[in-house]
Amino acid sequence: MLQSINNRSSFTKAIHDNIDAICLVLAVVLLYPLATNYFLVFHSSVEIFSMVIAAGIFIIARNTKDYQDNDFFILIGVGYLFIGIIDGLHTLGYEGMGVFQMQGHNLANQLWIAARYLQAITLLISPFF
Amino acid sequence: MNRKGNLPKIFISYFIITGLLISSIFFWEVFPTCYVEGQGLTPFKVASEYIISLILVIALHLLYTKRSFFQIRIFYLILASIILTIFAEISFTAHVSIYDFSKMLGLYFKLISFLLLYKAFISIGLKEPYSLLFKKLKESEEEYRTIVEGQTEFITKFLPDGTHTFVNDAMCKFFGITKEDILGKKIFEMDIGATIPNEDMGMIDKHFAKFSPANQINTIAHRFVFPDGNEKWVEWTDRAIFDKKGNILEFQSIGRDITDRKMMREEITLLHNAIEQTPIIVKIIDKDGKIEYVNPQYVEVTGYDPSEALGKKPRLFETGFLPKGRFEELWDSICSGKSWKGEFQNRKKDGTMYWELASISPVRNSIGEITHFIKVSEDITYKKLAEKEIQEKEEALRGILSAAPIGINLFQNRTMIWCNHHMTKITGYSEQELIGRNTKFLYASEEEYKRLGELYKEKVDGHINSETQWITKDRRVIDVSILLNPLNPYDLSKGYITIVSDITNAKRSQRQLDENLEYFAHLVDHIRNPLTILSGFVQVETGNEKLKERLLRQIDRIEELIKQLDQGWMDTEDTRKFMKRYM
Repeated sequence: MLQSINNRSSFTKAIHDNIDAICLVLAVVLLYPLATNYFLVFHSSVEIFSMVIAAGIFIIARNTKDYQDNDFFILIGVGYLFIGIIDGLHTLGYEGMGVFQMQGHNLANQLWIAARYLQAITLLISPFF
Repeated sequence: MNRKGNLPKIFISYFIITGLLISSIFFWEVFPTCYVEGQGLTPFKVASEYIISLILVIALHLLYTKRSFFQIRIFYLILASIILTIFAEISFTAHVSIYDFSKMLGLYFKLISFLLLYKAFISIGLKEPYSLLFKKLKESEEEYRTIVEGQTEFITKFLPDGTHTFVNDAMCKFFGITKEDILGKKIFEMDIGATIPNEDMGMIDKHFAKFSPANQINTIAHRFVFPDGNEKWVEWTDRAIFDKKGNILEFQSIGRDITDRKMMREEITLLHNAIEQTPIIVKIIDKDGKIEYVNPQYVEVTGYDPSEALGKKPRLFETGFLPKGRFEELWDSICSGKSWKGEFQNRKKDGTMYWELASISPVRNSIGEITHFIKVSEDITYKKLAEKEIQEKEEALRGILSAAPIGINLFQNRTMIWCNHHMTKITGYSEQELIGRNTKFLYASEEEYKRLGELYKEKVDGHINSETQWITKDRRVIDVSILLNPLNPYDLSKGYITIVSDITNAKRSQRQLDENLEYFAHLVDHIRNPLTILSGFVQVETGNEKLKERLLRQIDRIEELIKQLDQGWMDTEDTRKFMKRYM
């Protein structure tokens, strides 16, 4: 009896300790059928997810600015907010979404590159803030 | 990383840049083409992916140089996120078709890179806000550093394998080494000058074996032997830090030099042993009068076991049959901080009495309050008995001396300190009148007083006999013979015993005898002349030869008798002279 309780508790403890990795593996596995069959849904999901995170980073940075002795997090937060905005447009402008009048892959790629430049420059200058 | 408070500026900058980028794509259509239908990705797009990757590598490097500003876990998460972003970019350069595998991989990378950022910023930022709050962290770190470095106690951290990760100044100072001598070195491999004796090693091994998640803090004291032979005791309080799985991550250790404490303890043990061994009764009483300690001698003398005595409140310090007045004196004395000494009788457990010579003294603490009383006493029953015996003997002796029909005195510095009864008969003074007075008043003349005083100056042993004249209370002059005998011939200040006898009558008889003898001699002397004349007359005037012859024969017989008398006188004279010279 005691042994089993012990086992169970050590099992839940193991799950708890590695929850991030487990979520990641689950996400990859669950998203895989989407990625192969419904690419647009997969793409949108990933992008929306990153946008949510970007917005979250901004909110955290914005609300903890008074406690920080430099602007590193502010820069990352603001930077990722706008990266998220461009990524949002990229998602909407993706071929097959049909939101914008412009057709083809060019728009999405342009927005993608613009967002990535913004991201790279943001990370590049971040150590100086 | 020192700018601050630029949120509005940063926000507006990004707003403008993003606006320009979106406008250049949507409205002005000046943004370079990235994809041409039928041809695929343009060189601009591919080159851009590489340029972005390159920028990210540089960013990675710059961040790495500033890693000390970050909490290490956040730093690694940001680093990983950037690396995955680079992977994503590289994946996107490879794909030719929109739906192929590398694009999917790129998206996965992006997803994970954002997840890591989520982990870094949101999860850690919210769950462990202090990790994000550089300033607070730095402030408190500084505060702790000051505390840790300012400590006189040794503070050190080391990994389970003994590698030191932290050490404070106090510890370096103690061993006379620098931090570099310790940091990164393992406990038993570092050269700190001092060595741990082999006897203590087993103890240390046991100490480290004791740690478990249920027993995180343990203390150990062991020695360090310094190269100059000095031995120092250090007490360590070690705390083991465990991870969630119960593995030891590190040890945090606080040490202090307890050499003085150890030495003091040893000294206390020594003194304690001395008290336990002493043939004197030692008792410690607290300020409320409760017995806190008794030594074995107490047990031996009184018969009470420590268990019977400890915690009890002895009545009045166990001063037994001490008169009330004396007890008040004792109380006043010890309350004013002085010790008290006294003798009294006390009762043992079995009811028998014993004599105690005790000293009771108060013990004060560092702020001067009386906290304890120490009673040190000696069983002086035997001494008391011996004293009594001596006293009895002395009294018997005194009785004999008092009754002796001869004057016996004890003199010190020419003052009578004791005399027997017969002295009062000789002098007519009472004992009270004699004792304590300089004896000058007894002497007939001052010269005699001085002569007697000089008598014993040179002689070292034996006794001296002398005669002098004293005046009695009723002003009679008496002749006395004095036998002088020092109590200690080598220390005359101790005094003399003198034996005095009244020789007035003897003297008087002697004098009378002398006078008679002289008178007799005078008479004898005077008989000769008439006898010579008589002889002449007889020879000249007497014709009767027969009568003449008879008369002369008679005169010769008288002469013969006078001669015999003269001879006898001469003998007496010799005796008299002898007596005069020597008495």
